[in-house]
Amino acid sequence: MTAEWVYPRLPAGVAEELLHSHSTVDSPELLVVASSTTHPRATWYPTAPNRVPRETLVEVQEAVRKIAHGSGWPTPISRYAGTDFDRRIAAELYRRMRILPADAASEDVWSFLSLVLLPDVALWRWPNPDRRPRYERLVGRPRNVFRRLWTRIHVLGEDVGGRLYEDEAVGLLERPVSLGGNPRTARAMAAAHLAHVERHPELPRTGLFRNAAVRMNRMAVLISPEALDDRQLTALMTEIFDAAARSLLRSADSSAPR
Amino acid sequence: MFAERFAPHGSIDGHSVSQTLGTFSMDFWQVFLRETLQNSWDAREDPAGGVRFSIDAWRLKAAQFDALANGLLRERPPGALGGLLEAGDPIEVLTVTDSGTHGLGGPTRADRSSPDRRDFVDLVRNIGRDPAKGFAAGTYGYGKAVLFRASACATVVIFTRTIVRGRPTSRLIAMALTGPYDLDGLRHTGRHWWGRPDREVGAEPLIGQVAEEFAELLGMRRLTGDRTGTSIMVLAPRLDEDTGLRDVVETLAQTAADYAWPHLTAAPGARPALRVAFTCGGRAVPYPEPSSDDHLGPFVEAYHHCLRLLEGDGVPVQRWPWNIQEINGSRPQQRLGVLAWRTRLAGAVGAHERPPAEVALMRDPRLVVEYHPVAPDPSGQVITGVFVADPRLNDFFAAAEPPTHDRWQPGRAQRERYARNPVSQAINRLEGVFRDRRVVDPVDVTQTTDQVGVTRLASLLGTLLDTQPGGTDTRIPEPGPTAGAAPGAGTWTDGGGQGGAATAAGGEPGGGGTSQPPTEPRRPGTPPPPRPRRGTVTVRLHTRPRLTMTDRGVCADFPVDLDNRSAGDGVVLIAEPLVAVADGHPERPDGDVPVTVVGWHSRTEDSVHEGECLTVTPGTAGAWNVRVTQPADAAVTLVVRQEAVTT
Repeated sequence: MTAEWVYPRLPAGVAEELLHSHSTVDSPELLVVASSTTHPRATWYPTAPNRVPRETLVEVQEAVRKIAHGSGWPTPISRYAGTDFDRRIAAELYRRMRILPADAASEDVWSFLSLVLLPDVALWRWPNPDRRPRYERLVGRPRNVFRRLWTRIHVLGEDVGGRLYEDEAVGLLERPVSLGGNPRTARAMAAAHLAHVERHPELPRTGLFRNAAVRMNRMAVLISPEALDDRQLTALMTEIFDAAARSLLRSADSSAPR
Repeated sequence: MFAERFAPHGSIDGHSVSQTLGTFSMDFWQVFLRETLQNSWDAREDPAGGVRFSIDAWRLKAAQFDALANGLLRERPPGALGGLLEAGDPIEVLTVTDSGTHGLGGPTRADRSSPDRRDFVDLVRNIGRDPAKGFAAGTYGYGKAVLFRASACATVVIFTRTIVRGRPTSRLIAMALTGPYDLDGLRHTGRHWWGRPDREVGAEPLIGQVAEEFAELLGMRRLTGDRTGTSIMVLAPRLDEDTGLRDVVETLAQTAADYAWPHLTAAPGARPALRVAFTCGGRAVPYPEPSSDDHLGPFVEAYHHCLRLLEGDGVPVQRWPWNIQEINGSRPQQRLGVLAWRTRLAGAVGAHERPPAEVALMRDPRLVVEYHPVAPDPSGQVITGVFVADPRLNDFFAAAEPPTHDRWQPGRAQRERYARNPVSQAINRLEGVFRDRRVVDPVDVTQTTDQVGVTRLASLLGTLLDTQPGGTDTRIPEPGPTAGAAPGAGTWTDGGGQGGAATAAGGEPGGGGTSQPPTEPRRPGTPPPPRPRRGTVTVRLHTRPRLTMTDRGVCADFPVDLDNRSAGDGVVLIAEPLVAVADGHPERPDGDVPVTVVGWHSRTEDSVHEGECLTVTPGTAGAWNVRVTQPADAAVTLVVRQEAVTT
């Protein structure tokens, strides 16, 4: 089995300084010059067994840039093109990075990736014209430009992750306690959702997901989904989506005569 | 549609809206909320009375969309509006409503002089505002720009019910802004109105029954009965790329709590002067209850200490862990304002989180101007404080605010060169309080700021200590007569997660109530002084509810103990059940998980009060169970509110 890499870390203070200076640059093209595979103040996890080699960093950089060029970099990106770019980059980034999952939980790793390795793409995708000091898309917080895409693939897998709508995936992953924190729960939820979407094409898909997520959020106070085996988990999710579908059908019926 | 043309002698064009695509940050929605809420607050009918403010967002129903696209807005200017309506998909809307306010009164034409308020023309017809009016008149001046900026097509529908010449009148008109353009050889300013065509004015509002019916058809139903007020529907609110309408409403609700908590909380026994409601797609969006919120609660308490000092005899009474002090100016020697602050343990995690060190700045009308950052605590604790400007200097502080009212800029209040400026003095001295603290021990500063983690660990361990006797830890209020009378001290949450939360007696003396002097300890049985008193009850919720089988099915009994010695002429306790969730704050029950309060059952006597309310006087028993129905597959928690008895 091939090794999983550990990535350089950019401390929070340094990341914020870099974010500030990058945010003042007008064009993403100028940030290519500022990008690098190293930073004098970057550190490594002290006992890391496999530090990522420079060549891999360059590969990641090139792969991401190639997709960005395909999405029209450096012209400012529109909202729909942005979502499309995310979809195309997520799996590629996941495969190329081969990052140790524990390392991917570090904010500093994603700060390095966004502000040192690929500032040209990161600030093109999420510009920071107001110079917000700790802009969550660009420092390594959970909604970071690359981190959330990596997490989506890691939790949901390439297949399911690709079939969910943007707001469905966000709805899953931003409920860490009840849903997104555990890949098994998240996948079971996504699978049940996709099955019910097929079975009930007449229901608004996003509404169905929201309704079920609300139910699961209440249920997770009583039931610990981590403790269920696969069969039980599937049964729970089916029950929840059935109830959600019934309640949507009921409210559609009652509003129809009006 | 009436599209304004440039007059031969020139006009101001309507292009005050940026139509840029791309991201639209949440910061904008905070400004939006502050502007609309402040306008509503300023427009209140009775300066001592209450205002209801609500925001409802939803996707238009087919009939509602039809009434807009093929009815009122049938004719359309070039630009974004047409594209949105022609696509045929019902659009989303966001409606801001206030009631208990004046509504948009005065003439409907800008050229008619009127001795009264001119709110309608100021919002609908004129650009800019009359500076003589000041900011307290309750009209949209600067603020109206946010309404158009909030809409992707710069279009709003305005419905108002107001009093004109002593009689209630309803008005409805729609407005849109575009950039200036040429049509049929004529230059248009880009300002448009829809209503009743009028030869002279272009478009006058729909009035009376017609306006009422159309508002009803569009789903603007908040102004019930004949209450006066204003409802403004923003068409197609701008959304950031992965935030939905609900996220926007949640931000608005959070901002309302952050910014208007002094009016959302009330003195014990009084009603809050401002009541707010937020819905998205017909579902209520909860907002934090300021007095029991982890973040806002300490600010509410600090505000109380400030009020006592402002309204008392000027001698600060120290109440550990609070630091309460006056901020004084020199030349002339005067009080600039009062400050109350404390440090507490941080709960936040993550490398990019700093323990906040903030002082909420405010003046009359007591909306938070800014959470002003001060020098952080050297040992990594959170600093929470409130500064209230001295009411005698209110005009100085008001002059220092930019039109957005979100900062104090001393330069704006500088009346002449080299004159002493109370605003800059106040800010300097306020900051000095925390700066000076920091340099006490420079060694400490350099060493411990890097060790926030230790403080966090200590904080976590500290939560294990809540079995210690009351009074030794600030989180455990000391039982006894003074506990009930100290506003804010009666608010705490039990440590049991699912058990429940008790919210009581948090808040500020507002409205007609003045600050209460601390009640002196009184032996039970001593007759109270014979004056009408607004009472307060200290409520303690026990951690573990018990399940019981009743004729209404399975019910949960939440044991509650009351300290009602300060209940005065009576306090109504209202039990509100909530449904616990794994991510986020407990939610109100709904059709999917119904929960009702069966009643209050005395634990010592054979006495039952059905329903959610219990009226408490000093003679009422103290030990109760609140019985609620237990729904299947959900955990229920409980909050107890209190209100004064209304006679």
